[in-house]
Amino acid sequence: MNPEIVFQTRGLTKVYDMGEVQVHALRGIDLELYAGELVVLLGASGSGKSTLVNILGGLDTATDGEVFYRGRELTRADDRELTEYRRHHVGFVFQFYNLIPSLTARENVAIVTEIARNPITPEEALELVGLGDRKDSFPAQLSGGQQQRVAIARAIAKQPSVLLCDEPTGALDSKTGVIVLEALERVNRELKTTTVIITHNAVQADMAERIIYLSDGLVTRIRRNAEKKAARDLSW
Amino acid sequence: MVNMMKALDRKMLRDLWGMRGQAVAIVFVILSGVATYVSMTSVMDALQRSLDMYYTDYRFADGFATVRRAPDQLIGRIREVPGVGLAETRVVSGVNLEVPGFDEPVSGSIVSIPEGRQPTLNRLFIREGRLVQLGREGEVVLNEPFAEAHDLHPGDRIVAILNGRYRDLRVVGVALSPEFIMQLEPGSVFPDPQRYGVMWMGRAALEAAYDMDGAFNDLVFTLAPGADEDDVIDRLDMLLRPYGGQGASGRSDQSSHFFITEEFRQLERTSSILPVIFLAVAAFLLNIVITRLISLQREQIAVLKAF
Repeated sequence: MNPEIVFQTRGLTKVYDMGEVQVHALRGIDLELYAGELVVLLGASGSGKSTLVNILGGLDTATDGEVFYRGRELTRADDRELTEYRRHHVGFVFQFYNLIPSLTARENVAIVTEIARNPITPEEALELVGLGDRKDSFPAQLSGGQQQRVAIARAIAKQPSVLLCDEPTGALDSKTGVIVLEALERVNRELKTTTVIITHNAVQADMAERIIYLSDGLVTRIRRNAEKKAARDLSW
Repeated sequence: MVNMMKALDRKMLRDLWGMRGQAVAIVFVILSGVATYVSMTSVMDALQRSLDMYYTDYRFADGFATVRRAPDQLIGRIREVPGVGLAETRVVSGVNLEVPGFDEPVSGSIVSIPEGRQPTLNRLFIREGRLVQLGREGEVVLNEPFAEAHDLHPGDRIVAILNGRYRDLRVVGVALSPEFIMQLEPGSVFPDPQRYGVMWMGRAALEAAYDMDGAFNDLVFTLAPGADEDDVIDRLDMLLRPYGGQGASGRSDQSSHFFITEEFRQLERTSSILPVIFLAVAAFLLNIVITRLISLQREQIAVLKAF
């Protein structure tokens, strides 16, 4: 049985108009992402990874081409529909955690669970990322890795179908990065969340089922890992 | 209940606590604006009501007229003018005064009142002493601001030059009148109670001093309910013209009332401008604080939008 297609893009193009120059961030991307898979988007800085993920997540709109989420065309959705889509289907993890400093870990997660349709509790989400004992800590009392795990808990607490992670380990050392990747791996495994991890770190590709290589706004290669490694076995 | 509070509400409360100094300052400015508005409005309201009550209780006239000399019998025809309610004739004159202990020249107005009783209109509120009595010449009642300015009390004496003759006058009372709340010398802009005073004297004595026996040179009147002031003034002017009538006027042109109305208008203006200034400052401060807050929390807002 073919796995369900979660995302499908056709000729996806994004051009940033900077006045005198036009920056072509995406130059016609065709790809498919499947339910429950863990995909790594690999590419150098400026290759279009973040632009692609932002469009998939409904944070940005395409200049041309089509994006379908479970058969629904996102490229035709208006602002309100995109907000609705993000709220109920997408979880984001960013490089710089972006936690709210005046709220505890639990409250940072609760911000999402309070508006989600079918959330797990903030406590469960924090347990899932191994922070069950730091629920009442404020971001300033947590290490970078712990803060990123709170950000992951916040992203997965609403049980999104897709988890989009933009350089989640970019600001962390290797040891802490592995802990964060383990959390993502566990979420993918236990919640069956389609997980997209953007990285320029080729080592992290080993934990993915598929690796999509981007270069200069184009998909240059898609590779399937014959055997995927556990996150804890990675090091860089 | 506390646990039921939404995370965003908690964030707001904690952020607010974090900038409590600024928040309190802004709240204080807003409260000051509102308090200024409320207090000044109620002061205005109370003052206006007091004035209205004072005018009503002491029968402040609606209109005033000055003539050179008219016979007392004319009062009958004046009262018959359609629209005239109550009318009372008086003898009023400018007077030069000598006040003991004050070397500068003092001028004043001397207004007749019936001996032994209150006038029908522009009644006096006796603050000290009594009204002038029948058969006693040389008694005067002083307007309070003038009496206070010179520390004059019943029993004291002042000298007045009435119709060119020195007269030794005895102060028998100190009073207030709705006609002279603001005691303004004709032609002056501000009251100067040291150099200008109003006093009341018995009608007979004043008539004798100014050769006005059986005559009057001043008229005060009220309007009958529903009367048209301009119409009444026109008719009175016609009636008084042969007697040297200098034109009747309504209350709005009476100097004390005009001055007070202007003061009230200024107070009203201040009461509407001051709160606006306070609220504008509060809006300015709020704008600065919120603009700063938004720029500081732009990333947090972006993340909230992402969810």
